[in-house]
Amino acid sequence: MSIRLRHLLYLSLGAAGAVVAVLWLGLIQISASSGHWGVTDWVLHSVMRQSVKFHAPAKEPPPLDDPALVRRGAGHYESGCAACHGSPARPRGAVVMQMTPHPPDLADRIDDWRPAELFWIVKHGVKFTGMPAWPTQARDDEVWAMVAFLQAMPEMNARDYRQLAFGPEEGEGDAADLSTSVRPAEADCIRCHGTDGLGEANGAFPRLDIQPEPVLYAALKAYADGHRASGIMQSAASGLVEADLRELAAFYTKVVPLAGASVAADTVDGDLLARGEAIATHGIPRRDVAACDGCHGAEAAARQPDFPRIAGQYPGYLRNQLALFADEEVERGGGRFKDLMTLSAHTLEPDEIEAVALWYASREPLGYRRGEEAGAVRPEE
Amino acid sequence: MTNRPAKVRRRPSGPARPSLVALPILLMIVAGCDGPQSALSGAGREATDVSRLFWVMLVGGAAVWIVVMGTAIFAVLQPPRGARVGNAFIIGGGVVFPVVVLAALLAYGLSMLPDWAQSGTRLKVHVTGEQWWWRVAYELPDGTLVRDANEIHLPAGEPVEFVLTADEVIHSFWIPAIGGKMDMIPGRTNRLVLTAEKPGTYRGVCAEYCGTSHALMAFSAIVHERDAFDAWLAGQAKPAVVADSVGARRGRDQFIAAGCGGCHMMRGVVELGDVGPDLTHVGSRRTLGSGILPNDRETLEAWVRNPDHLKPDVAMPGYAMLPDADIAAIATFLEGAK
Repeated sequence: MSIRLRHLLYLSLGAAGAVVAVLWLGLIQISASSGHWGVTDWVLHSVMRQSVKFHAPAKEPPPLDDPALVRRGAGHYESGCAACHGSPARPRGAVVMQMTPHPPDLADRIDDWRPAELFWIVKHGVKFTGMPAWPTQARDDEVWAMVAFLQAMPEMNARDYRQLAFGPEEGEGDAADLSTSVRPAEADCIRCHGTDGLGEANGAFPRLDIQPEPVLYAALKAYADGHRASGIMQSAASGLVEADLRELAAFYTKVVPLAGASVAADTVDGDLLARGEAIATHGIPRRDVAACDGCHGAEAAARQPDFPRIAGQYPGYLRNQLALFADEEVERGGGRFKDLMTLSAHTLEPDEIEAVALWYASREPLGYRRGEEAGAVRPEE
Repeated sequence: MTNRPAKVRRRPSGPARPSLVALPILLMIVAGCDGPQSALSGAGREATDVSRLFWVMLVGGAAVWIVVMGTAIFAVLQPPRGARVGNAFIIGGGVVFPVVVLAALLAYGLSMLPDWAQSGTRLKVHVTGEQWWWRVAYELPDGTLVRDANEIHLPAGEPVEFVLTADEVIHSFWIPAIGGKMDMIPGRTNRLVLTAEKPGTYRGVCAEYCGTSHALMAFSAIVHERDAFDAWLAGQAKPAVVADSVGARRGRDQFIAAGCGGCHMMRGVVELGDVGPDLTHVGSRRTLGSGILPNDRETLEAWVRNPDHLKPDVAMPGYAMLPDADIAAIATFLEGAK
């Protein structure tokens, strides 16, 4: 009895030693060129599918057919995903096909996954496959935008895709056309924010035409340094050098702000608007909520180019940013006054955020020049 | 014991020691009985009443104590003298005397309750306890409110009605030299009538623990002659004065440009938020930070830069992100806003 047990012990020690030796001597083949054995491939994929299914969040996704979400996801798909997964406008390149495993063409795979599973894959990435995580774990709203786009992509032809990923103006031509008229870094901005900084007016992207240069610079800088969480803008800004950031911040400041609110006041519930106005102009003294106009009103804006201008901004963007400022878990970087905003936002209730976002959205932008053509470029002064 | 060298020698204690320790303490206590925050200095009718009540109660209480204790000691020391004499002592010294004295003290105390019937015509001062400062508004006869903060001004010789409430937690309003105190309770209005008598500057405090900086929540109470009070109130009703200098005007612009108006009213300059103290005439106040620091340039700049350092957990954010020149300009402007 005892002799047999001792033999088993020797045997297992010997086997363990052999495994270590094989690993240590470098005998294991890790070449991508040789691919996986069939069984390895099957095991890895099955484990991945089961894991995603198990970990996918149970919470309800936002309405994924929202065109603004699809548009926001498309802009980033082109810069972040298309190089490996291809797109309706271009097939996967020969280089990525030599990856093991090679990235799938998503058009015929999307239907295999529930939205929550796609969300989990996009947010967290997949080990051992080359699929990266979303650049920040703090922006589920952006991940859902990507899911919204992914769900819409299988139906798209090349032209549809180009319009979404490069903007309506460039959708007809070739992506390369952009680089002939503007600098490459600017072309990347224009794909989503347009030449006029309006981001197509559907609320997918914030209005940039209303912002002073220091605000745009501070935002770009915070994205580039990783202090302001956004998978989309961090990827766009992180590769840029200081001179690029300065140049890009100046780019949209040359645009004349378009007159007109982003939401018509008569389409909004009057009580809600009145509530928003009260918070904007007087704050909520009993709960230490400052009056937003103290920094974002005309008087302060006329004297302080570092305060973001929010009158005329899209309500969805305002709502989302207020929620990010209110979230104590997430660092919401920005300019030198950002801590004031964190302090002001963290006591606001969701219905108050809604009211104040709609109030500012229904206002004329500060500093617009009536009578000038929308998006006209200011003459150099 | 005797063989061991006394390494740890106990301090010798004797009858002389306690009095040596008690003397400075007694001196300190006596020294505290005067000055701008003394309830015994009698600068107001109510404080005088309270002070008199204190002495009357002290004398009455002392009489009861002496008689009861005297009777008890007498009973112990004397040989028994029979039930009748004993009962007379117990009933006379232990029951009748205290009941009579205490009833008299109660009647005297009750007679001092304020007479609310004459309410109406007098000056009303609304005071709200905030964490950790005082929101003040003077109600004029026509109902308009003149707003101020962290200072109370009173006309001498007239009853003034304080309308007291609080914002988030319970505070207590107390000007010991003039009268009080009265709790300030969120969602409830308490009234307190005080009559200041001697012109002068006194100190008021929050007398109910209200959070981290409770001990840093005080205010100046300034009693004027009637004419001087009227002139002061008329001055407060006016919009802020921007001193006629480039520095002050630059400071006003920096004040607006730093977003101060989001929380601070400054009538005539910026009238938006109303979260923090009204600053319309901040330059004329005696103190900063709600009665804790002198109102001077150095304090103004330090406060703007990092108020939490001076008053822990204060709601105001620090403005250390501003360049020194901007903070200096804001201080110049605030200093001039008399």
